[in-house]
Amino acid sequence: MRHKTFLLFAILVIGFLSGPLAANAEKEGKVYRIGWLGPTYRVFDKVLLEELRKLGWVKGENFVIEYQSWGCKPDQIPKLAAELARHKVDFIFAVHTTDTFAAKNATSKIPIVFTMVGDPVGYGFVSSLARPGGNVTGVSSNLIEITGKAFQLLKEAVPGASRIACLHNPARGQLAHQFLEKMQAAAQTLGVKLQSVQAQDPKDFDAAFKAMAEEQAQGLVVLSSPPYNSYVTQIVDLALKNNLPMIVLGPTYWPRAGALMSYAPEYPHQYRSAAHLIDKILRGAKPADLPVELPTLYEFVINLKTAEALGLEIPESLLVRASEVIE
Amino acid sequence: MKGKLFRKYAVLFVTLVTGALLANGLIEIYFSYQENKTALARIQREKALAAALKIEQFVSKIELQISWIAPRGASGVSPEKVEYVRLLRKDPAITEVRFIDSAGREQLLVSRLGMDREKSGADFSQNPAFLEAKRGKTYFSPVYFRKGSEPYMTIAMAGPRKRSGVTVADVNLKFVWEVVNQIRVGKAGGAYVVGSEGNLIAHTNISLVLKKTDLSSLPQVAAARESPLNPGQEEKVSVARDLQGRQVLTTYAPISPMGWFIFLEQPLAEAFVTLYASIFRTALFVLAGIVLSILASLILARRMVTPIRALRDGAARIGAGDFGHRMNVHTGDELESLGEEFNQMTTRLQESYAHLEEKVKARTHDLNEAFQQLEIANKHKSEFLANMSHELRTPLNAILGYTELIVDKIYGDVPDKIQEVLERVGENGRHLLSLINDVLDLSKIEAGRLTLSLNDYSMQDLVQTVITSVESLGAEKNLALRTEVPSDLVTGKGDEQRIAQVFLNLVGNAIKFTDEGEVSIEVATSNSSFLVSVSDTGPGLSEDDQQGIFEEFHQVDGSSTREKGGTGLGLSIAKRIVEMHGGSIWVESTPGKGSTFWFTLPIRVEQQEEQK
Repeated sequence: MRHKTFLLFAILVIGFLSGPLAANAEKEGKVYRIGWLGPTYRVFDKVLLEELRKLGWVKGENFVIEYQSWGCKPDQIPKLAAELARHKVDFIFAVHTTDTFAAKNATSKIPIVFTMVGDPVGYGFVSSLARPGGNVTGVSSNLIEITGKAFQLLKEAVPGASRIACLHNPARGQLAHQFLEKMQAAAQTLGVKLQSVQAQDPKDFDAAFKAMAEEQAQGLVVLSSPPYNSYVTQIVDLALKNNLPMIVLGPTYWPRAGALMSYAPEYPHQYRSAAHLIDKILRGAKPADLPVELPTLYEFVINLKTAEALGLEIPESLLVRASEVIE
Repeated sequence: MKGKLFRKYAVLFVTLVTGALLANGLIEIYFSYQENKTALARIQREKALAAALKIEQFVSKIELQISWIAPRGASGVSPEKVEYVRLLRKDPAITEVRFIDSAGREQLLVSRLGMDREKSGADFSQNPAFLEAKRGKTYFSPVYFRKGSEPYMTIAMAGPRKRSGVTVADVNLKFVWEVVNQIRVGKAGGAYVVGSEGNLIAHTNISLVLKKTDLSSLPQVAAARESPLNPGQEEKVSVARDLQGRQVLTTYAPISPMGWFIFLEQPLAEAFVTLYASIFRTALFVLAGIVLSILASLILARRMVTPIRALRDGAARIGAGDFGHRMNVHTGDELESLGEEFNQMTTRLQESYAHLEEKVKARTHDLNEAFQQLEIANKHKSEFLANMSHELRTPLNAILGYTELIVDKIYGDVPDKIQEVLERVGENGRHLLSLINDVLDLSKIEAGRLTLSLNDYSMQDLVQTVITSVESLGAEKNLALRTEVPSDLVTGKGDEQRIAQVFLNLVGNAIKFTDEGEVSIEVATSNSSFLVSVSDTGPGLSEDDQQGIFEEFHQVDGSSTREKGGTGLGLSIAKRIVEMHGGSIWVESTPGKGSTFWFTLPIRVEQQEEQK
């Protein structure tokens, strides 16, 4: 009898002790595969990876990235997106509108997060900012909304300008259209004449600037887009050559390269926000329930050297507003 | 019955120890639950207060900056645009700021997103921001969402003078979201902010906020809105259910200027993991303690009961007479001394028992001896009597013979006077002779010398002979003699003469003691015995007399015997004779109504019964 009691006791003890151990043994060991779709690996990706690390996601440890970069060949995007879908990655990080577009066409199941889409609702990526409803969500660059603002900033820098040109990429379709509409409205408000100039390839740039010169444009608003971003120096040089004060709706490397001004969301912050969305999705949230985030921080950069070269006196109201002044 | 004490002890011990252990365990669990809860709540509260402070600072910083700029528009004229631009530059949370003059017209708008405008004259006179601010208070609007996804709040403040305009700032509340998002309570716990109306302002799950979730029905939110705590006040812990219905440990802190509340919550299951672990440990120890105590109790109870059982069994053996048994109890306590006492008692008992037995043996021996001697003496006495009787009879017969010869005038004439005396001598001589005969008979019987001569006899003839010999006596007293003897009686076997002696004794007595009425003899058979009764209508016998009537030398009373004559040996002899035949004799009598003497006689007596 005593043996039996002891045996029972022993079984109970072992049972109690092994319960928690067994529960602990069941630890998540999953390594997620993230598909990356964009033009080239850039400095902002570092920001993304750093932020992910802060949230507990370490590249090579609990996730790996399959890079699909298309460099200067945007026509490759659909093929690369299809590749990612075929590889059944857990998640696609699409940098730009074109990437998001291709990724969304390639899959309706794999979650997609974007960082640089100007108008996600307009493109039909999401049904509304608050409730995306599908497999796509991300951080909007909100470039369209601030188009008027950029126009006004340029007008403030060149108060006397009465003819202002805008350069955009017709390949952006819907976005380019909205951009143009915004520009026209702003031109009307500010009482200036707007010249719309299109350029798709580097080979179009010369012709475009020639057209501006012919129309005697006194300022230029550029809507940055992937191909433009690859030829920053060329465009900046052309503007300077043509004595055109230019504001770019795009990253700060434009004024660093010599553009007069840039106005855009703070790009690193966009990537950080994207990292938070990725974190939520990897932890099980549905993209359909994750609202598209709008930028909270905007960067306004002025290159005073360029201003000097152009013979412009930048008013105090602009300098006060600038988040960075390049001297 | 068996093992009852063991069970009692075992149950008692187990109940006591288990009860104590359980009580201890439960108390420990209760206190550690309370302490844990309080500690967790304190930590949560600290976090909540810190978060509330952060949000308050965020808002008050904006408020402060607006308050610097607001007086610039004191005259009702728009302040310099550059000041507003600077404000935007300073605080990235402010997306738009506008100046509204005292008449409620927009004079200036500086925006981060849209185009700035001056002197638009847009009408804000009915706008709550304008109206509230004009009343001299800082106005905080309810939270609203731009483009359906960006949380915003309007803060408005008027200049100090009556004609001062109002500065209205649209503040992006993403910062509040970030604060809330950064709060982690354990792994699964988080925070949310609730507006003064109970609407959700910030939550880790943004879509809940964008759905404009109303939390006013949650009990913890309702309680907070009812009686907002002061920051210094001690928090009472509450366990409530969250939106998903999970049990959570929740605390809150007020965010004062706006009347918001920040709530921190953690699922109970996670919050109490360490508590559960400690409860589990306690339970394990209690369980182990109980198991051990049960084992110990069983052993202890066994140890207590075993000596008691040994005592009981020993007592039973001693009680059954096994005085050689000794208790073997070595517990070193009262039980052992009880066992020793038992053993001593047994020893004494054994000694006194042995002593007693010897004494009984000796006494019995003595008694036997005395008895034998007595018997020998009695025999001697009987023999002496028998011899004596014989010796007495011879000269008496001579006396009687000679007397009769004299009466019969063999020795010549006897004068009448002497004749009469001689007859009296003969009469008394015969009486003496019958006395001696009786004594002789009794002596013979007692000395074992009397032997029955067993022959066939006819009971009818026997009774007839008896009647014939006593007829004259009955006739003298004028008594009726009645016999009732069945004619078909079988032939008996026995000593006919002795049986006749019994009859004669009984009938003679009946006639002797009966003065009028009748004497009857009845014979029947039953169970191979003759059943004989001799009844009279004489004075009867008292209870006491019936008792000893068959003993030697017994007479009912002296006077009647003297009057009636008799030796007092007749019934005793009759009894002996009947018993020698294997029968029995008894009397039934009622004083004043007569007596009936009964005796049974086996019909065929083949052997004489031994006399004791």
